[in-house]
Amino acid sequence: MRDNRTGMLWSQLLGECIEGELKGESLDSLPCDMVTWSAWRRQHPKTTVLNMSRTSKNYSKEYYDTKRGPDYFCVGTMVDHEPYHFTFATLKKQPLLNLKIVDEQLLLTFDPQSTSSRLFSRKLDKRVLTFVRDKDGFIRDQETKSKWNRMTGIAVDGPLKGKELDHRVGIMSYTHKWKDLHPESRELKGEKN
Amino acid sequence: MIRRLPVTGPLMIALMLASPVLSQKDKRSQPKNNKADVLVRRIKSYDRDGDGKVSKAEASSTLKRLYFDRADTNRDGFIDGAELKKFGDTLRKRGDSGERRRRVRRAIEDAPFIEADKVTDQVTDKELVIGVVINGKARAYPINMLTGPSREIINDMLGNRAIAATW
Repeated sequence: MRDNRTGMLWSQLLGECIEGELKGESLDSLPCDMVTWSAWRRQHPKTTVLNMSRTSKNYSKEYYDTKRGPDYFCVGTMVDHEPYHFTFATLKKQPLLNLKIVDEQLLLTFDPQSTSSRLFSRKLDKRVLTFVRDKDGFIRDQETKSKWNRMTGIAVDGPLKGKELDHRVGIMSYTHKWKDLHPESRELKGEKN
Repeated sequence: MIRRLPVTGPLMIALMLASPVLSQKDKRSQPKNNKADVLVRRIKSYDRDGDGKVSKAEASSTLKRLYFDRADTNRDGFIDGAELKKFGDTLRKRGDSGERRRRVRRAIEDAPFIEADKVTDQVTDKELVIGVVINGKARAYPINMLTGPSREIINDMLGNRAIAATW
C-alpha cells in the first residue's frame, strides 16, 4: 500500500515501510478476528459494519471446507520479532493450546464451527493460567476453576468472573503466503513445542 | 510501481494503527527515484540473511514470477550483486523498470457504515468479516467488500484511533 501524500510504500500485511522516509518503521498491528458475520454480530450486537458494494461473493464459511485441506490455512504470530505459525490441521486436532513461546505464555483457541481462532496472553495479574476444555465450547482455568468464553477471553463464572485476557495478534493466512512472507517461520504442532 | 505488494495474499489481514510519527513526518514531496534503481533496491532488500545475494527462497512470489529468471542469468538460483547490477543496467538502457506504470489510487476514507440492526442483505450470516474492537467500539469489514486492489485498504477512524483495515 502506498501513502499518496508522501509516496511511501508500505507492506499491507507487515505494516512495515518498504520504501521512503520511514523505511524499516512499522505501524502497530491490532488484534482482529476473522469470523462469520453471524458470530461477530452475536458477540457484538452493537457493531457497525462497512456498507459498500460487493466485490466478491467467495468468502463465506464454506470457503474453508472446499477441496483445500486444513494445512492450506494457518494462524501466524510474531513473538519477540520471530514468526511462528499453526496450521488449521493442528488447530482442528487441538482447538485449545496452552503455549510457552520464548518467554510468552499464550493461549490459542479455535472454534471449528465459525472456523476462527483467537490468541491471548494467559498471564493475568502476574499469574499464569492453564486452560482445559469444558462443556459447550467454554474453557476452564485449572488454577481457579473459573469458566471462560474461549472466543472473547472473558471469564463468565467463578472467582475470576469478569476478568479478561489480553488479546494478541494472530493472523489468519494462507500457509504458503505466510511462509512467503516469513520463510524462517517455525510451524508449531502443539503444546509440546 | 507495483500496485499490489509482492507478499499480499487474499487471506492476509492486519488491522494497523497509524503511529503519530506518520503525520509529523508528513511531507508532500519525495525526490523522484529512477524506476530501475527502485526495483534494484527492492530486490536487494529481499536478501534477508545478508549474504549479498537473493535466493529463490528469500524472494517474494511476485519477484519470482516477474523478475527472478530475468535477473538470475547464470541460473544458479541466486541473484548476486553482479547480476543485479547488470539487470539494473539493462533496465536503464531500455528505459524500462520492468514494472507496470503506477496508477495513483484514490484512498478510501469516510467509507459508509451501518448499524448491525439495519443490516438486511448487505452481508449474510455465513459470510466472513474482519472484526475489530477499539475502546469498546466494534466494527466489521465484510471480506466480500474488500477484494480487488482498489478496495484492499479502508482508512478509518474507530474509537478515536486512526486505523487501516487491510486485505
